[in-house]
Amino acid sequence: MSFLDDQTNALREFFRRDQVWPFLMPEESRVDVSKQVILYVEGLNLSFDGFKALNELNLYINDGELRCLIGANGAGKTTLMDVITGKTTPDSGTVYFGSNHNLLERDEADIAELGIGRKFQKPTVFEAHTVFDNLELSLKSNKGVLPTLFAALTGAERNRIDEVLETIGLKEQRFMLAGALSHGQKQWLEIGMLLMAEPRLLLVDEPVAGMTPQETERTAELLTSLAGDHTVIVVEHDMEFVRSIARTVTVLHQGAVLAEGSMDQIQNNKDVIEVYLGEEA
Amino acid sequence: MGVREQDGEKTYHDVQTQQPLADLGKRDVKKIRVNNRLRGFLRGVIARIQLSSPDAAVREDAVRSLLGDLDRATVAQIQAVRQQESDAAVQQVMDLALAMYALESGETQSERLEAVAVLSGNLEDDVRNVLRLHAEMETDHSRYDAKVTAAAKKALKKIEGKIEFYGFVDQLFFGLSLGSVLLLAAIGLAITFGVMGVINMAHGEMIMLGAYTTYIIQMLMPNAIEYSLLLAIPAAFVVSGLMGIAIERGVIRFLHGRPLETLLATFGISLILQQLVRTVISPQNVPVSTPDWMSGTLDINPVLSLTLNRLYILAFALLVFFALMMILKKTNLGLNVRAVSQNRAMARAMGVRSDWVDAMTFGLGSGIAGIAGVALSQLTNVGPNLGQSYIIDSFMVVVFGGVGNLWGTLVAAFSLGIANKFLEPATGAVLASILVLIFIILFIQKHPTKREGSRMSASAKSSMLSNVFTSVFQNRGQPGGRVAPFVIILLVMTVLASAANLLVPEGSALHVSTYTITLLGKYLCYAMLALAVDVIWGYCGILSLGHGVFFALGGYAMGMYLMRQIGDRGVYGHPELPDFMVFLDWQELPWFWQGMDQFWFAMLMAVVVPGLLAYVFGWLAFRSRVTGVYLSIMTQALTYAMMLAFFRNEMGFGGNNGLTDFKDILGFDLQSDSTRIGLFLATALMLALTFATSHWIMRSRMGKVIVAIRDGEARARFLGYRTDAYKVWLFVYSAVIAAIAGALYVPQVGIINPGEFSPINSIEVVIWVAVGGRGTLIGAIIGALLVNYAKTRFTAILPDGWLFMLGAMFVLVTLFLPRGLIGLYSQLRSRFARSDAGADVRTGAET
Repeated sequence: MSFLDDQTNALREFFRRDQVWPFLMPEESRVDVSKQVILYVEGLNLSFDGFKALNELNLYINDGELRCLIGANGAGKTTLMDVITGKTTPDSGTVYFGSNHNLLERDEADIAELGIGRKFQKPTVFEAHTVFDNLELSLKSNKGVLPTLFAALTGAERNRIDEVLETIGLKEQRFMLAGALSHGQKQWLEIGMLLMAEPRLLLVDEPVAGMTPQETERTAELLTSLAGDHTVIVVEHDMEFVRSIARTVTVLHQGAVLAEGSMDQIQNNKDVIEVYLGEEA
Repeated sequence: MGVREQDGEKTYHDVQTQQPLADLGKRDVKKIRVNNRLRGFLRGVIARIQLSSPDAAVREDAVRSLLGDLDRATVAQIQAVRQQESDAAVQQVMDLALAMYALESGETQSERLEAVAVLSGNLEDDVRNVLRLHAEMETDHSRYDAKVTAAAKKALKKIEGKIEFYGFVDQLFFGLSLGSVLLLAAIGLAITFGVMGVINMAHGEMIMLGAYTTYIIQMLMPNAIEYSLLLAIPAAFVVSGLMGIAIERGVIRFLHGRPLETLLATFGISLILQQLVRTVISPQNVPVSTPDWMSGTLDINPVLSLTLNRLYILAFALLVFFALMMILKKTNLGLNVRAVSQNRAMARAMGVRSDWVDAMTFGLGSGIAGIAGVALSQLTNVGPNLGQSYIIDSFMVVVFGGVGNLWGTLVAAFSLGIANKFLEPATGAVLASILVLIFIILFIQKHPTKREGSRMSASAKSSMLSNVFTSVFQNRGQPGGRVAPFVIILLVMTVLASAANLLVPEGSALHVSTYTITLLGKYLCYAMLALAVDVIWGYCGILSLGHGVFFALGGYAMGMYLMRQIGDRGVYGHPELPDFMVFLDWQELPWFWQGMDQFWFAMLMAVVVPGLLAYVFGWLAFRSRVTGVYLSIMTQALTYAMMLAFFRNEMGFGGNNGLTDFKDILGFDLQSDSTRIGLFLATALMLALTFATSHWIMRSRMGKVIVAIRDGEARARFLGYRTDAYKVWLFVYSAVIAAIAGALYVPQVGIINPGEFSPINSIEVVIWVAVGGRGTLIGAIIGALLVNYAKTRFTAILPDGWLFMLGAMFVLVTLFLPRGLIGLYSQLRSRFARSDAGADVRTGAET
């Protein structure tokens, strides 16, 4: 009898009218930043064929911060971005977006919808589309198949695109194919695509490569203005550029954090000098 | 008594004394008729005589042949010679004979039990029969003895265990043998595809050339067949190798970094080579003889014997494999090959002549395929289609083993061979190969990254580059205005043609015959199929080489409906069962034929079943990010597997003959002109509808996302688009269009059979799209109409020439017209628009 009772109890529990079934519960999508930290990276390990790309990496990014990641080639900067955006799965460790979203359980599209945007090292835009279409595709909207099929641009969205076109200085080229843009223009377009999506967290990989000094300056301005509302992580080799924007700099070395602090602190850090300048120090 | 014939006179003599018997005439003599009884008797006599032969092997055979009928006299004789026998093997067989007799007619129980003990574990057929007789003896039999029966049962069990084991060994051997064939076929591909990354669809034809080289060499030296193979090996290597180098220099090097184009162009080459052999040598299979030293078997014991030719080929395959391994590891060429395959630019900078290396590598891979052809000529029929049957298997082996990994190829070939042979007894040969195909498809999708390696990303990059190139030259006229004109032209033309058929009297110059109407209807179906392929290939970059599957499935659904409409008008007059089921002696309709007599249900199935298949396939493939050439090969394998399946009678789709002899549709007679016109109009309407829908989809934001996926899938994903979902739904949409085309096709041509699934059909569709211009919907339609019109005209004039044409089209279009006719048109138009300025620049440059 007790078996039957168990069953009926389970059923009764299942059909309780005051509760929603767990699998119907809408997922908590708001990013919880009550602890002022937007990205938690803890104990990350990843090796490719024996090469340790990430080695017990710990990193915390505050909400609204502009953080620069620097490090020699192979220090793990791009790999870290791959892990955060879901492109690569680490061997061990955890990555949380806010204190409530485990990024390792999600795929790229999911992570992008959560509000993490990424600019690649090599500018990747949709070459067969016009500049305008590139931006339209990056709009923050429902990215499901059916909604996209029936999507139409609203006036507000059109204005938003115009606004971004203005910001990235590609107003004249709006109907040009993205494939015909120059390298620097493509960089700008990709940044524009990031802006369109209005992400909480921007991962920007070498944004000023191939830009003229003026363009570099404008990029620096843009990134600093973004910080506050958005959180920005910039990976860059150009030290001049890093100095011009950085508040906090993190140095990666062999897959782990070597040093963290303001630019001045970093420049005087003994470990950093040793790694960067070798025996000369 | 013997007979001699001399000058037409017959004389008789005594056989034993050789004395002539003079007084005998023809009538006094009676010829002895040889019958089986006499034969058996004689055999026994001969064997008894041979028992005392000086040769041990002869004695052993003699005893063995006596095992079947042992009587008292024979046994006594064996007993007598057993005393003097010195050879151990002969002794053993003699003991067997004695024991068998003892078991049969032994007096005491212990004597019989002892006999069973001797017989236990022996594999001779006769021994087994005797034991079975005793093991299954009824209790009321006069010689029944419980203990003896029990012992016999036990002995029998032991024998059966042994037989099972040897059966296993036998199967293993066959598996290894099949594996060695696969290895031989795949190993050349492992170089050209695995190391160089070139998709060579003509690889099978390199094998075929090797086999034909063997044939020709045997023709040239008919008196030295024994040595012909030894000579054929280097000859085949040279022939296929040179052909390979020619292909590489002539075509493949211009398509570097464009894997899908390479695939199409080499497919065209394979068509040309096949047709060449058909025209020059013969469309039939040619006989290749096996030298004596390769025929025969190696007998291990009575139940296990290995055929020598398979054994030789197994050894040969391993030899070739290790030789190749050595070449790649130890020689200079090998070093260069590895360098170029890893980093072409760097190798070039180091002074490696990469074009030379490419040609040599390709020649090496092709040459090895030629050698494989020599080996295969000893196992299978040599015909123009020899290579085709191996190409998909070879790709599977290479992909399964891991691209660029020779050891993987070895392991994959043998494990696939063995798996195939072990599945075979349980499922039948065809189903076994289908299962293996499915398994590999699942495997690829399970381990895509591991198996694809870094090569895919490299080629993905280069295809992106080519996309940039093409997109710059792509004419993006505002597409909005294009739907209406096309639809209007299409509909006006069809209505005019219909009117010309129905209203204009026959004999008038304006009359359009019903034959032409049917032909046009067929073209329109093809145009729809081309549209389906273009939607997925031109816009999303997914080259499906298996859209024939969806077309044929749609066609089969319609065919089933039409079959059910025949009712009792079939040949057998069964009220419900179609003729072929009556013929197969089936008693009732299979479950999947239920409801197909309802038109609406059949049409629902015509789109639901292909759509579902596309969904499952797409979900498996796209979710695990199988892309590019891998996906193409998988779709090709899918259609191949379906073709094999539908050829089976047990599937319940009419097997080989398919479904035909249709009578009417929705009550209208299929033969009447008005029904034909109706179908023709319906097809035109559906084409217009699918065209408009596809156009609308491609102009929507979804269409933009699809193109975005083609050009930068990772970027699209990082923007938050679930690219796999887009691809799956587009694939389903495309499959449904193909299915509708198939459903409309069947009532117009009046038959559907498994031939529609054949891989070449699906690839042909791709060339229609390529000719017209992929990435433009109108291009696909124009391409399909033009190519099929050309096909009709051409096959009427020169039947053999068509495949040459088709093959050449594959090569030329991929080389010179990457954007098809539409691309050419817009290029010309833009050139004319700027003709003055352009001409000035050009003359300036030339002078």
